[in-house]
Amino acid sequence: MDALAPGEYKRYAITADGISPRARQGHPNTVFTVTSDEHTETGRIEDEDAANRIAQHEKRMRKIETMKPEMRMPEWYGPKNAPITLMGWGATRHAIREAVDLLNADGVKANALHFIDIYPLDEARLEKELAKAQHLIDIEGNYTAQLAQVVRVYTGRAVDDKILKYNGRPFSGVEIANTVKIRMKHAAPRVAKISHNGHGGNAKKTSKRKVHA
Amino acid sequence: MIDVKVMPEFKLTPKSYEGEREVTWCPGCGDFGILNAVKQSLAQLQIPPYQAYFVSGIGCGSKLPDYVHSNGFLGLHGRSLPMAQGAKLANHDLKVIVTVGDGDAYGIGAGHFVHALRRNSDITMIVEDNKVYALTKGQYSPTSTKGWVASTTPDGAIEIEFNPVVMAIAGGATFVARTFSGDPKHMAATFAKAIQHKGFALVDVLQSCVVYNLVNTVEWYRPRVYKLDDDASYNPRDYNTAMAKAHEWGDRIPIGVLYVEEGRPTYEDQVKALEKGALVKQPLGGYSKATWDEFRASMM
Repeated sequence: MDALAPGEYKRYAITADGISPRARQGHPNTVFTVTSDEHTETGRIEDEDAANRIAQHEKRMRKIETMKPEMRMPEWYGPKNAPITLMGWGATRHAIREAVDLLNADGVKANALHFIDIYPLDEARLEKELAKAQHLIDIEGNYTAQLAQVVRVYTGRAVDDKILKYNGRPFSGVEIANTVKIRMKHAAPRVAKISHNGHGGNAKKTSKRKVHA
Repeated sequence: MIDVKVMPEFKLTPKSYEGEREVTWCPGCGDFGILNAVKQSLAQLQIPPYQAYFVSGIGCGSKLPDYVHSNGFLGLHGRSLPMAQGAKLANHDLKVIVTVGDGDAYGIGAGHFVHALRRNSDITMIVEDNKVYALTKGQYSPTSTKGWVASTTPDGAIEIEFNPVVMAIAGGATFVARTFSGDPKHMAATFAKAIQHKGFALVDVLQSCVVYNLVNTVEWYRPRVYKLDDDASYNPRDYNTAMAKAHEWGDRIPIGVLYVEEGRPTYEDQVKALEKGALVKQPLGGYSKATWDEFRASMM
């Protein structure tokens, strides 16, 4: 009555790219189980078969390599080859864009690098993007600079400065722009790293100052 | 009583659902009987393997779908009901059958259980209730008797036992039954009734565990259980009668269909999107790729 005999359809077939062809359950010609436990190619629970485990695990991990070329690189905003690049991800996107516009309007040439996809991280392509950044400032709404850590771990590129905010409130564009100006005023040309406590600057006192980047 | 409609042209047999795998349960486990009864009930109802959909969690009982030639989803511990209800929403042409143990159903999955009861999805939930966490070596489960001594309760369980059939009736299940792993025919018939029922059906199976429950054995149950099905005066459609029966436990334990409510619309009946047929067979929303791209761009 069924086109395939029990155990014939391989839901988890070992493939070169790691992706196994998927049939929908409920089709008259395929009957199969899927399992949260380690499974055989046919989706049955593996009974202590280490060779199967290795084959299935390697198949799954090959998917990561298959995915990498499809991952979106961080997007650039603002003038090319700017001496300052603001790096961010997620909800800071619009505040960072506003800050870039404010800075450029004030004569501080800056651009932004906004991460959309993170994992699986395509190290080779990302390194090329990061190489375009000169003074790289990480803007994040957390204490530990999570994105900067990921970037460092996978590409070796350390950020030159970090502006971190963790008082539970969102960044504003003005706040970022002003903090960048203060930081750049004290920044030695390019290489030096600045030690700081990660809090924003005093907007009233510094908003009119020009920064010599 | 509720009769099972057996198709006149009998083509599928219990063998039609036989999996290709070696069963790894302990010799003497009540699960063997339950597995056979499940196959029997499917054959009685002539449900082809591709139209059944087994969902389970983690545990000895949850391995049942692995031994059946049918569709199955062996998911995470306690999460079988969300999966089953989702599967039913995606393709309500399937007969969705949950097969889990008492720990998965009433312990880890307790939160899902109470909401599944009131939701009345057209699914069948078979609980292999041996009153103990057997796969993880005998810790006390929600249905263990108060005072149950096990590795995690050396001085005896402090909690009183959970009564699944009372809970199911109170919670809004439209079919509540109990059966016994020592009676294969009763099991198969009860499963068949539950599968045929339109709405959420719970079957709590009193089951032995030959390793970790040496109290509630087949020998312990056999003289105690009696069949409601034999009692013509018992009316499972009366809520109060059913509730009283559901509380009965000890020297006499009722098995059979405790409670039935017919005619209440199922969850799927009331989802507008399913009016045109099974979701999986409907075209995708009618949006073009350009529309999706535009939508995505607007989100970025």
